[in-house]
Amino acid sequence: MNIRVNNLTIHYRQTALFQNVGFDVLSGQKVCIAGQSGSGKTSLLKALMGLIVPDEGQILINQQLLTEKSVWQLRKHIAYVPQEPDLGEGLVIDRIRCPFDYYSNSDLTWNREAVLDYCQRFRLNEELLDKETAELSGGEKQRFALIIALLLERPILLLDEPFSALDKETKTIIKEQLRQDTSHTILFVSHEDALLEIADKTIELTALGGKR
Amino acid sequence: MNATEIPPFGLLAGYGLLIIPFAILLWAKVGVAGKVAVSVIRMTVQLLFVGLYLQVVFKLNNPWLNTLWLLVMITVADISIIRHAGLSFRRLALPLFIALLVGTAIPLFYFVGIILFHSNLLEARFVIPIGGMILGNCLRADIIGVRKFYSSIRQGNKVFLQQLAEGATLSEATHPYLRDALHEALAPTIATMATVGLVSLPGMMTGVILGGSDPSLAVMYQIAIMIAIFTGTSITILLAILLSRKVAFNSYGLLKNQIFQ
Repeated sequence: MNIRVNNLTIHYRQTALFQNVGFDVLSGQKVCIAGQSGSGKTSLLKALMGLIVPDEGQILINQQLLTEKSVWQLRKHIAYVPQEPDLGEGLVIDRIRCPFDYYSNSDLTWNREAVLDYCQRFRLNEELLDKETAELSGGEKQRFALIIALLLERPILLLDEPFSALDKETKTIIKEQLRQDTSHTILFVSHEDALLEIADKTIELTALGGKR
Repeated sequence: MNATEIPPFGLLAGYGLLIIPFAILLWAKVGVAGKVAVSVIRMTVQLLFVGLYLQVVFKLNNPWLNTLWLLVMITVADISIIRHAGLSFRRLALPLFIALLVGTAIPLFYFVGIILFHSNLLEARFVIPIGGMILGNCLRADIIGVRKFYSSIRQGNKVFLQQLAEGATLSEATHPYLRDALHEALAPTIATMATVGLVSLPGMMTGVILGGSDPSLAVMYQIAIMIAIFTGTSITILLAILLSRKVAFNSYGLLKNQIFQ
């Protein structure tokens, strides 16, 4: 599933984070969004998800324009892992299961085995599933958020600093998982050289004027 | 039998009782004696005016005038809720007004028409005191519920946005906040129902007893009004959130900052 961004401008409190940004991401590509702190990388990912309304420009997901009408449909194609995920309150397993109760995900089947499989792959102890989300470390939250995103089986994956709270060994495991992944179009924001290695291309954002 | 009258001297003697709290406040240097004096004067003037107005309203007993009085009370409550919940009057006045109107009218007319089995649903001596009691409780619960709903979404915006990202509809994403708001707003009424009669004798029951009626009749009135209040608050909070939600979120499901003052 491809993405096209045309002349995108996003402001934050009357100040432009970036202006006239445009790029194409082809189906199956892995693209790194780079730029200085405050250049709007997170805002760009949120705009692709329809969680920020851009001031100008267009976003097309698989040739379909993202609008206030299409956003609810297009969100079903994208999974988003935010920086420092907040899993809310309750048991970890309930939090992972929560999106499976949404009407828009009714075509998905809840599979606990798949969760256990991801836990093993991402070096997470199964016992954590029955703990409160508040008891998790930052790295554990990040991995569980990634597991939720993968379980949703959406063709586009947006990852915001996915390695920021992970140890070296886990970073390597997840990097390999992403490297071998051919079923997703992946956009990620990261300062990690390890993750930059797997990118097919990099989009550099500059505050007050982006470029390809 | 009617309520025992309070002679003018008796009421003046009532004000004399205030010497005790004033002495306490002055002795403890709390520094609110002036505020208390203003409040007592305001209370007296407001109640005297209301007393005079209600005498006219009760005497005329005109259904249109009674309805107008009820609408004025709802409007004042609406303004009070919006101000205390820190929300934008322009955007939320109408949905919260409708919620209060429906939440008050349903239990009020049920109370008068079905419980009291009275044919004139708009009779002043029922509509004004019973409507006022239901509305007063709806106001208190609505402030708690509406404020809780919007402030929780604002503070927990990251979790809320993540739910949208994971495919939740606006209704699904706001449901946990709606549940918590209802719980918090109804908790005082639930607690009151559980302890009524043990901790204190409630207002309506006291009024009926002072009016000279049998305590068993007072108890029946109290049970009916407690049920009416609980029904009214439940309807009001639910409608207030559901109706205001339509103007508080944009088409992307994002909370509008403009709804806050």
